Amino acid sequence: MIHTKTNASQSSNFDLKAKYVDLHSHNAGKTMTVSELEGLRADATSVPASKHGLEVICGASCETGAQ
Amino acid sequence: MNNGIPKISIVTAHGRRELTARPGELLVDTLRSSGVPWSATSIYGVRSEGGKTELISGLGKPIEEFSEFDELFLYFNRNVNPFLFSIDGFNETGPEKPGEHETEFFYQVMQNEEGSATTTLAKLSPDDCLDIIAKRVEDVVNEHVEPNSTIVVGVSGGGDSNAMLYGLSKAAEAGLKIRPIIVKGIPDWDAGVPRAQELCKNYGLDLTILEESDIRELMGIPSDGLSLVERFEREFVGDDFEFLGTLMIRIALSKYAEKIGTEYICTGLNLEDVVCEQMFRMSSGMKPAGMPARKIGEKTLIMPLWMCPKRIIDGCFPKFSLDNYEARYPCFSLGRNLYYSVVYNIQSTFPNYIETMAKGLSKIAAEDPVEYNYDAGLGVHVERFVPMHLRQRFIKMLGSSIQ
Repeated sequence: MIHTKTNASQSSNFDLKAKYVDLHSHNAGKTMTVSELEGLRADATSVPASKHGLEVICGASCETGAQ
Repeated sequence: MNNGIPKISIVTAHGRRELTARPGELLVDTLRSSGVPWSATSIYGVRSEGGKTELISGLGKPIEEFSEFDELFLYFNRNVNPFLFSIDGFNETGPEKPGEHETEFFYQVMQNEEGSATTTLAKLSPDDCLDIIAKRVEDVVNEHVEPNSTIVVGVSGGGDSNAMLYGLSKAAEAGLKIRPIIVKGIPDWDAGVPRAQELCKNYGLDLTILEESDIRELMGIPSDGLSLVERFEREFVGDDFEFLGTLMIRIALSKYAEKIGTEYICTGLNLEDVVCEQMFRMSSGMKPAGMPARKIGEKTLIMPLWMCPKRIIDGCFPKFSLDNYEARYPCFSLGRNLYYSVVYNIQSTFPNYIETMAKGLSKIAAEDPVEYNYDAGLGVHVERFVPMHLRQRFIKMLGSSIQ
């Protein structure tokens, strides 16, 4: 299915595929200590599929948003 | 085009990126070294600037064979960013407690709000590793072992046992009673006895040594001079002794636990081990099995190291680790090779993701535990039906005498 994006922001993002950009996730903020990192690793909470957790509502057909 | 090599770009919905190809390498290797999964790309070529874009093939071709093209475009067939979790451009931290023989471990922290992942390479001294192991063991003991209980611990004398005993000894300060036991019967295990004795002495623990004759008696194996390994290899050609070895240790620990009147037994299964097991189970249509606590009959198997990556365990006592690697015997079972390879590849590509998997699977397992039933014919607890031909071969392996 092909969607035509009309929103201005989505439209500009639509053109990204024609541009050379830095695709890496940049490490920002302060560097964490070993103890902080280890605490987060052991806590191991899962990342929601949608940023706002919409799979709770929309997920019966596919929790990870495939159409 | 540069020296007969076309410009190669990955095209994603998030933008384009030029990939670096080395002369002589295959296109699939260029993708691999750039961290791009080959299965998510389609290859298009353009012969000259402004020319027609042609769908082509050639993952297995050397880069030079694309010399007729000015540029290759590798279209990523999903709208996700393949570089979002790349471990390039990491921060560095540690060690917290300086010491010789640092080990390293990649940590990756997800920021859902920002839609980003931050990667840090932590340098860990042996003391840092010991602190981590002690904390992880403490978490398990606090949550899954009744206060002031006794736990029967299988040890081998290697670095893993050492790290586990260190962690448990810290928990012992809060009342846990530790009963270490080592099983003899194969040369590798026998060789570990002096080291295990030394370790236990260091932790102020009495080591119980189970002789090969004790194991034979427990499992109904004749004492006819044919070693346990020989028996196994004769009947199950090309298979790995680890499978029988694991069972023998569990039986030995369970019997000893019964003798001293405790329900808890434990072994050094680490993070990669537990996820590997669950990978196999999921692939085979089985629900996840309990971790880090698993009820098997009257006993509860505790896995104190289930959240401990092998790399951090090895970092506790680096000098022991080399002995451990040198003592490795090759594993030939295709499945065991597969599941471990899958786990290590996920872990190396997406640091800390298997921890999330393990936690999720643990939750499912706790809600719907696997039930293990005692099979009187085999003398072991099993979960599922044992086919007759396998049952007969196993009994034959245990009971047969030298021909």
